[in-house]
Amino acid sequence: MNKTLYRIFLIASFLGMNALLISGISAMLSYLNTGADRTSMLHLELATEEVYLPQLTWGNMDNPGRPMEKQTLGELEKDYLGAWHVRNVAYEKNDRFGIDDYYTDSARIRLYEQIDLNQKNGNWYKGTTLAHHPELDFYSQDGTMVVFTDHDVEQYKEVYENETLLFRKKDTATYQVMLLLEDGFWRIRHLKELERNQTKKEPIKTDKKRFLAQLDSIKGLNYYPQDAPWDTFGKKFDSLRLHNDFARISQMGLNTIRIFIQYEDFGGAQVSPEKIALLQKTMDLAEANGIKVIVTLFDFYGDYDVSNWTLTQRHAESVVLAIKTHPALLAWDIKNEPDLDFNSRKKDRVVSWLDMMLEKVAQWDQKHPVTIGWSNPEVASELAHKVDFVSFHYYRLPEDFATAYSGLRAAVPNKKLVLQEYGLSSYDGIWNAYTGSEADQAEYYKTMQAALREKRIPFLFWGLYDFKNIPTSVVGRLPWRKAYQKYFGVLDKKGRPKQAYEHLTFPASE
Amino acid sequence: MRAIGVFLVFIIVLGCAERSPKRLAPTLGQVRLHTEQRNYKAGVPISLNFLETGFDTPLRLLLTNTFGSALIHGVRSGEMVTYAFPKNFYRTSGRCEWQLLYLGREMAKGVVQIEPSVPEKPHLETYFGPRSVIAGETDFSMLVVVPTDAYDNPLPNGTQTRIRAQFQDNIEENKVPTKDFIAWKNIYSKTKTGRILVGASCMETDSKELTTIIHPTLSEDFEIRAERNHNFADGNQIVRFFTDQLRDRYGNIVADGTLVDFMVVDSKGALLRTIGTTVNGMANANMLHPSKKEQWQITAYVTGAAKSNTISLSFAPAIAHLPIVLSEGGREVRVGPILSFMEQRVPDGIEIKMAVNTSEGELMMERQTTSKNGMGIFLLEKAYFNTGTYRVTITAAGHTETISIQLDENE
Repeated sequence: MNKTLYRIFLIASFLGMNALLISGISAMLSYLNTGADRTSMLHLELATEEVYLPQLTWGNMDNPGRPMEKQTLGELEKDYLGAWHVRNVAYEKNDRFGIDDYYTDSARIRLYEQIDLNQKNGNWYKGTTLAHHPELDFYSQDGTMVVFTDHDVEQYKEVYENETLLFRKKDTATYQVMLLLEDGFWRIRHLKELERNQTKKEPIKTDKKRFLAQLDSIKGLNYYPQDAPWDTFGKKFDSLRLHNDFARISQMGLNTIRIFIQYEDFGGAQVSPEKIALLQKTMDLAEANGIKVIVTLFDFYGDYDVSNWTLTQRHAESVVLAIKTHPALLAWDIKNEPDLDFNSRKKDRVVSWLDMMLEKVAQWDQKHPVTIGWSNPEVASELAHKVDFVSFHYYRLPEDFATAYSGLRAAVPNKKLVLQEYGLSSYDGIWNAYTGSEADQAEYYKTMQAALREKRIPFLFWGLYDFKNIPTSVVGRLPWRKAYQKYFGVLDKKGRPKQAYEHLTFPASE
Repeated sequence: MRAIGVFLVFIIVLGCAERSPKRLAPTLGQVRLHTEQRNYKAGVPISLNFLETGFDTPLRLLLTNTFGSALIHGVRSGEMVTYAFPKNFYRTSGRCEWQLLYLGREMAKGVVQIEPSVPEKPHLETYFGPRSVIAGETDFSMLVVVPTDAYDNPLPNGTQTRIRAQFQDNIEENKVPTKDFIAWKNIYSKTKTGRILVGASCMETDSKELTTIIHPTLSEDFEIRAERNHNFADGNQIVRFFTDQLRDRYGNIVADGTLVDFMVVDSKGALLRTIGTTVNGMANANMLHPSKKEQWQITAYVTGAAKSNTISLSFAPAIAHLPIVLSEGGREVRVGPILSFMEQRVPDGIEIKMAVNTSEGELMMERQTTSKNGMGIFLLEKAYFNTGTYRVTITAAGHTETISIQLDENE
């Protein structure tokens, strides 16, 4: 018996060894047979994902050498931005990867020296450029050399020593660049920073008085369609439903809604024209019902990393430019409750991103005020000097509201304050041990509205409808959080007014 | 005493204002830039000295130039702290910005300006292209010269370079100052073919020799002629077409290998074509004599550029008549011997055709053969041709003979 087992084991292990050996040899042979595809010489296979999209506008193209072709210009632009991108990445990781594709032999040495030095010292840099304004100086007759001056490059840099952020640097510089066309890539040969003339940049003239004046009379709510909560512009987009809802909101005596634009849903850096069309349609319907709209950008965006700045800028630029002249637009809200990301993403990082985005949105739209939807009154003084008006949310006890409000008022004495979200769920079920009720909700609004009326605070409460489903991405999977979130509306799931309704309808005269 | 004190304070304030270190948080400690030099030459080590007092942790100097940033630590001796620039910073020309940081706060900032070190022997990069041009006075190559110093910094605008171009006995020299890193010159083509050699120099550095080749431009119209052994249409001899020497409008012989297309139009209007390429401006091409009486019109073309005169060639018939001999029973048709213009048998390969029609005129069969030893033989097999009368038409060398054949049963 033992002998048989021994035999079986011997034969099996022999077969197994052979199988391993053969598969090893064949793997090696097939590896040796693979090689670079010949087409790779032409760089055709590079499926480029847009990872770096600073604003770039070409100026004067006249040069004494040769007229610039559109095709070449496109390639040049791509490789030039690529050079900035790989450089940013290289200094962040202290890694040489990709440098040799975008810098000539002699130029890349300078970057390598820089990387080696910083690696030795334990320093690294996170940087990006936000705007380029190149003007062509020279393009050679044989089409293999280009010199241009890149004016007013907006740069942002964070200096790290080991793991700590030491310093932030933001400036504008002008560079002169020479690029050579080498094996299909435009590579940087010389790069030189020119003298700075500080005076050149003019401040943007803004005129926001008209819309700021309208803020005082805001009576509104945060809007999602009942069948598509947190998905206004999704597959269930139904303009008839929006129209009916807006008409109802109007009948309630409200004049403003706040809507949300999701970063990924709208296509990220490359905003989809279909979504823009839906947004425009929504704005049109609001206009038809006499309702003003506060548009909240970057919903569900949570990265804020410097390497993403150019991408988020292109996103915001597309949305802002598309509807900035729309008559229904009242204000821009950069981000909903960004302070909730302070822990996970670090406050510094979030605040620098908000700061940058505030400036950019103000550049693109000089008429509409810009705000940030902070999640509580205490944090709302953050960046108060940068926003046109301060928005805050309040979900705590109504009795404490007056104190919280006057605290914020004291911190921000000279900007308008808008209570951008508040409300109470009427959920009454197992998860809160049957402690909520519609009556409680009505009581809540009664107290709140009295306080708001007294202090003349513009408000937008949370929720027209009770929702049937809450997407997991909003409050997570936990059933008690989802259930609670479902009952913030003043109309129930069937569209019937709840008890709180009477406190949130306003006669036209008021 | 008090006046002296006020004066000292005034001096310090003035000193700070001139050197522009910006004090943002003076309560933290005192910083003053001691080094006065602001402009440097690339390659000369730079260090900045600061008087620092009252800081509990060491400061860092953040340097930023075109290519990136670095944080450096100082070396303290007494109140003086020295920050030495790393090699790659003092070797790179241009603006170099510094900021003195104390726990992330900017305590002072400033700029040093680093000029390229202008050596007697700079480095010189030359880019020349395109490397071939066409004769005439419009086409040109461009020479771009990029002078740099020993550390690869481009030399300042206005650096003089000399650009020389040689063609035959003539050497031109131009002084060109640099602008935007480069000095450049268009080297125009000449009306004669040949090579233009160019070179550049900057101060005591000379570039290598670079070449552009002047190729002849497009051919002008030209003449052709034909040569042949005799003028008989024997389908055997070869006619040779020759061009004269093809030249462009400046008299340059066109480039070797220029394609010349000889187009022949025969008496029926059909086109025949043969091609030659030029060597030393001349091209030739061959064509077989026709096998029957013909009149040819020949014109040659350099496509898209030039054409020749039209010449005309006529061919006399070589064969006077077609003898046809039938075997007994008429099933073997022997054509020949076909005799040519000197009563010699025609060369092998003359095409002979036979068409067989019934007596009612219905076409039954067409056959084709070539002459061998002056003869062509056709067989009318029993399997196909029953007994009866047929009309047989023989065609060769432009002659057509028709005979009537009576086929018997027994043959």
